[in-house]
Amino acid sequence: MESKEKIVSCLNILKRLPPTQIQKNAAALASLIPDYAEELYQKIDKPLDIGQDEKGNQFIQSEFNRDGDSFRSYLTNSYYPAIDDAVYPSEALRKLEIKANAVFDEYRRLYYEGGLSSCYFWDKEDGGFATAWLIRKNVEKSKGIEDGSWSSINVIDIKTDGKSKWTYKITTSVVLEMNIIENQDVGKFNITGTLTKQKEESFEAPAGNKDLDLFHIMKIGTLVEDVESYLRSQLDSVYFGKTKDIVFQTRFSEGQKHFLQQRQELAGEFKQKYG
Amino acid sequence: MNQEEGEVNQLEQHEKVVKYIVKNTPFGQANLVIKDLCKIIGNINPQHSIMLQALRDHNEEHLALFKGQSTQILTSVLNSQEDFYVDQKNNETIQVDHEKLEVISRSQVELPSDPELNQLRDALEQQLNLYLTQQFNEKVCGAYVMYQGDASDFTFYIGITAKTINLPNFFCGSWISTWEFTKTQLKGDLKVQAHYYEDGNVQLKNVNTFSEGINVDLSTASESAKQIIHTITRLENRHLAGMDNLYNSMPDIFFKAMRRPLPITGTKMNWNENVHKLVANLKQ
Repeated sequence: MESKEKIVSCLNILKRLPPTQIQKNAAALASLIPDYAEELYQKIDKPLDIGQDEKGNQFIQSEFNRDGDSFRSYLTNSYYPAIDDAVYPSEALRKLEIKANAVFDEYRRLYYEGGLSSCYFWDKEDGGFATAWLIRKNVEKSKGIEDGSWSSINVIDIKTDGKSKWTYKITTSVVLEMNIIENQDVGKFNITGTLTKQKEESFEAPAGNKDLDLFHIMKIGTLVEDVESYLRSQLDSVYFGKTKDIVFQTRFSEGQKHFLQQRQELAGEFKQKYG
Repeated sequence: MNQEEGEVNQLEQHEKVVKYIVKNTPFGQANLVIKDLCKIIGNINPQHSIMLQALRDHNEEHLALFKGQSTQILTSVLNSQEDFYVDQKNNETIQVDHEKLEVISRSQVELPSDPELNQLRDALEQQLNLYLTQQFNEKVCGAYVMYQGDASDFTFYIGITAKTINLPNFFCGSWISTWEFTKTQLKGDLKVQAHYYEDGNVQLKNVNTFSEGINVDLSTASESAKQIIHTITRLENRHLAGMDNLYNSMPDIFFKAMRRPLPITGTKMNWNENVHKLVANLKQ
């Protein structure tokens, strides 16, 4: 299928470009394949945008609360700009959504000490439902960062076997960027990254489905916490750390190359002597 | 708009996108990106002029190294023509294949030359080669020295680069520094890039500029060359040490500012407790 190949090529290219520029890069590529632009946009993880309702209260804008060019606020359950005939969660799901937002806000406070969170739910045709738990955090002129942004996109698909088993499948993506405050020694230092992980777990619902809403929120929340923490640790130690290794094996620090060569020579001698 | 005009406009639009994408591609991956761009656009191959032009710009901006008699850096400084790069020392112009990064041909050319400046250039080259062996990844590194003008009024251009390209393990990086100096002033631009994309995608882009007063004495070429390269070395080492400090601060300061590894309590969130408490609050 021709369109599939072109999309794959676009995604290949996007992986080679800075992840936080993904919107601009995707737009550039989409202009080459205008017929498949929508499809491409749905496959990418980009930094989350923030919208406002009529009172100035903020909410996160994403693919999961979008209808056309409008976005639904988790606070008011209305679309901005207003539209007729839009998609809304069912009444039961909206109740769950309100509770989830209250709890997720506490998670946001504990781990992010700032930023904005939003949970959006939607019904699915197979009788299950899905939800997106989102966080956007900005840092400006603080702790050595000139400006930085963090976006977490947690999408959880929830299914039941019709009896008491519930299966939660989570896909979490983190997109982040940091511009360190400029200084004479290092100049302008910009580092961006994105990483995704999936996990699936199943649980037995409490007897008689008591407090099922709370049960869902606890299970989803625990998954979100686990996967986000994992990704944060990976990005920090493995991925960002790797960029340091790359630089230092391209341009060695003073004496390091000599030290490495000496060590290699000694190892060679040792091998010769002791086999 | 008739069909031909439409086609031309579309090509222009494509050209802009191609240029932008290839320009932002990390060095070592341009050929792959161009292949994918051809697949996307369709009916175009990597030898098309817009692809070759984008690749040429990419190579020049990244000080691409190409194989010839010895590893040389591609540079547009002192270029006389597109695709022909000047090798001042050997009085040659060199034609290269941008895709393979190989020399296609060389031809002799007469270039203005000043014996005093030649001496300084040769001394600088010697010092640079020493610098490269001591502090750079030998597999892919190189430097160039060229000048314009004469003994009374000159500008020297120096380029230093090293690359790490390991596509099977999904990473690559570049160190690209360009310098110019006159009798009294040394200026430099440094670009450091790194890209790691096994599963995720992380990119570092770091730029810095330098400026120092110097005093070049042409009568002592060897001493002057040592001093200049010593200054460059010192500034680049200082930059690298700065990067080291920065990376050391990464986990505790920068990352923590984004998201804590754990709440300030030191324990994970108690979902059970919070769920019951917060939802009960809602009802009030």
